[in-house]
Amino acid sequence: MIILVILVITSVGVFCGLLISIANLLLPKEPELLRMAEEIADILPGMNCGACGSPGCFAYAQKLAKDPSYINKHPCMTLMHDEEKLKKIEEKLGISVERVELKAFVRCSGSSKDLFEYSGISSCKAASLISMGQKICPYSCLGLGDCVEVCPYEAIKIDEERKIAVVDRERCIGCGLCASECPKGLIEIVPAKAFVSLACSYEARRNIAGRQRCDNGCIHCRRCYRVCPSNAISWDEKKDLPIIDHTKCTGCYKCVEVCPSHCIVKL
Amino acid sequence: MNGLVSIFITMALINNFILSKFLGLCPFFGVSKRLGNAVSMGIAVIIVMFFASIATWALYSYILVPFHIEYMQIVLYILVIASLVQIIEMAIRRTNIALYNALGIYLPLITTNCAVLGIALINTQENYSLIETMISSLGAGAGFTLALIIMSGIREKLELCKAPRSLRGLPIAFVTAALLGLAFFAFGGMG
Repeated sequence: MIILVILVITSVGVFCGLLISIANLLLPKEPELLRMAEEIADILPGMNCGACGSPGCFAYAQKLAKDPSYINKHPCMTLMHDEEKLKKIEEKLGISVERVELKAFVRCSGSSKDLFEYSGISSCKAASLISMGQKICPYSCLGLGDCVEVCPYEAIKIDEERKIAVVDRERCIGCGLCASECPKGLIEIVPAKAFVSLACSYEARRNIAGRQRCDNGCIHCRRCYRVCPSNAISWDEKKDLPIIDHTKCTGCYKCVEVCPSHCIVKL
Repeated sequence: MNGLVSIFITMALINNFILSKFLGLCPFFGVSKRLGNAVSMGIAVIIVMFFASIATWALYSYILVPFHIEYMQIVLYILVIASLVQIIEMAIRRTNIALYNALGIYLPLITTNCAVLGIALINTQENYSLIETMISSLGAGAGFTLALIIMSGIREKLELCKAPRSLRGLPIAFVTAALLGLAFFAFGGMG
């Protein structure tokens, strides 16, 4: 009796195995792109953070298999920290991958006072719908943490004292998820080697200078623009804010010294 | 015909797999955070349940009963379902990439799901014919998908509510599931 059972189970198992291998032979061959994508996906980090703009590592690998140059347009920032894996990817794709290292930076000093008390849904997106948020300055960080929620590396936190988001540069990999999440577009992705950045996003609105909104707002005086010895700062006439060219900046910090409202900061 | 309709409704609503029979609870909480994922998972479950119950029906009536080894059904069912899912996955992957991307990881995930094994065992227990087996598995799959979609719809809204800190996330989902289960018990009177 037991032998019969063993026989039946074994034969069913063998039959199933045979069926799978027959199906393997009969079905059309796996598309070349998919096989390639799978090999690429093995090298990718596999944590599906979505920072590259694709919904997960496998979707990203499929895009890479189709067009290898996609990696330079939408780099995987986790991969940039692993030279060994980068070399493997280069080998597989057959092109050289540009090494970039980026960090997020919140362009707000958080000195703006509250205009009213907000007690709605705890999300910057919701709060910014009501007269552009609870702060006096319409370009102020609201500190409700939409960027904190989205960060896969826990690299961004809300500073309890100033009530604004602060980036932990040790942990940040510069993926840019927070930058696209912020409803006010306050988060800028700067090169990791950048020396200075503007900690204010206040665009000239009806000629009200930033200082009337907060103590550390840009007052559009252009002193940084005039003092820069290496022409790294140009002036954005439309927004009335300085644009810092990080490739030209030498790190002399003259703009930091000269800024009357201390909104250009050392990184 | 009447019998088939009543089997379908019984399986989908009155004996809903998740909310009345408490089978397949892991995907019920695991994949019910977003509506899109819930729909993909539901479709994958319907497909697997349908083919698995046909395969297990054939296995039961042509192998287990003639050899009088019905007591080995669980072992053999798992074996057959697992290899069947392998074949289905292989077929989808090589013929339709778009569908493979949509179902993706869900197909292999439900290979050993208790809901899939459950439908096979229930069909055997009820002594259904082939047609009845197919209808009941479709009904069970539809009920599973329905529960998953309702739950994900509620959970998407729940994320915006101000739940007490200790209840946020899974705990409030459990409470919701309990209330949902109570609501589905009302269908019990229909049988």
